[in-house]
Amino acid sequence: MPPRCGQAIVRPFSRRCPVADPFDVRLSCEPLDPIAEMARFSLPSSQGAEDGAIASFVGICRGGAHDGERLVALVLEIYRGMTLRSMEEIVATARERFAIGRACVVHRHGRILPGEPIVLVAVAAAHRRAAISAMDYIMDRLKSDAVFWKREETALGSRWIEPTDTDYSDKARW
Amino acid sequence: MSVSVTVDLCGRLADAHGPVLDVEIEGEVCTVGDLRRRIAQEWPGLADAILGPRVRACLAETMVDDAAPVRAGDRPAFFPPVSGG
Repeated sequence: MPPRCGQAIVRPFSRRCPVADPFDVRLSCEPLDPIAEMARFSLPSSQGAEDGAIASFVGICRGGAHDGERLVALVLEIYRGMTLRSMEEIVATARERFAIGRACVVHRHGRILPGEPIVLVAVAAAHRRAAISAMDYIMDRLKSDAVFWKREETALGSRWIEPTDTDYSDKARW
Repeated sequence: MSVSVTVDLCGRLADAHGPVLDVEIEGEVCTVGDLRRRIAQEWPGLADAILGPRVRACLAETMVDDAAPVRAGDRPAFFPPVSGG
């Protein structure tokens, strides 16, 4: 059964310290504050000596459902440790493919309202191209491979969503 | 002798009968494939999905194939295709 909020898989704060863990991957059922996350990620004391670029992306819950109805809420279900592990695998592959030094990936689960941030991906690297490419890669993989089941709630009911053709073609770029 | 195995159903699989099924299996061990067939027998509404190739099985948080053994006390799960984040 998907964990409820009280069982959220959120790492203790010490694991978030970029010095101790430069690759910080988390799930949270609490609202995500991208500004606070980015402030922490960008602190001079958090930076590695080689950091010359930070690229970031924030995904926001849209107000329109796939069927054109107004979205009431988006519900993201996870499964125990599998969801976090799938996110960690994506970030680990990004580390192998791109010359990056740090990353922060925070993903919401549970019930998300239109306008709320769903995901933050921030990547630091010596040079901008690696940071931008790795951020783009992580997002494309999250959109199709991460272990989430997503359903849209509208006034007409609830509907499960699967990756779109665009999501698959975005992933195929890599 | 039969034992009860608690099975988690994820995503749309939980729509019909909820996210948790208690499944009786004969003996102390069966395979994931046996478990699929037992669920299909007991809950015919799930048969098409649970017997289909797109629904994957997970045991101890690892994806497994149909030959994997399921023992009393295990908590297998079935995953429909993921939606992504």
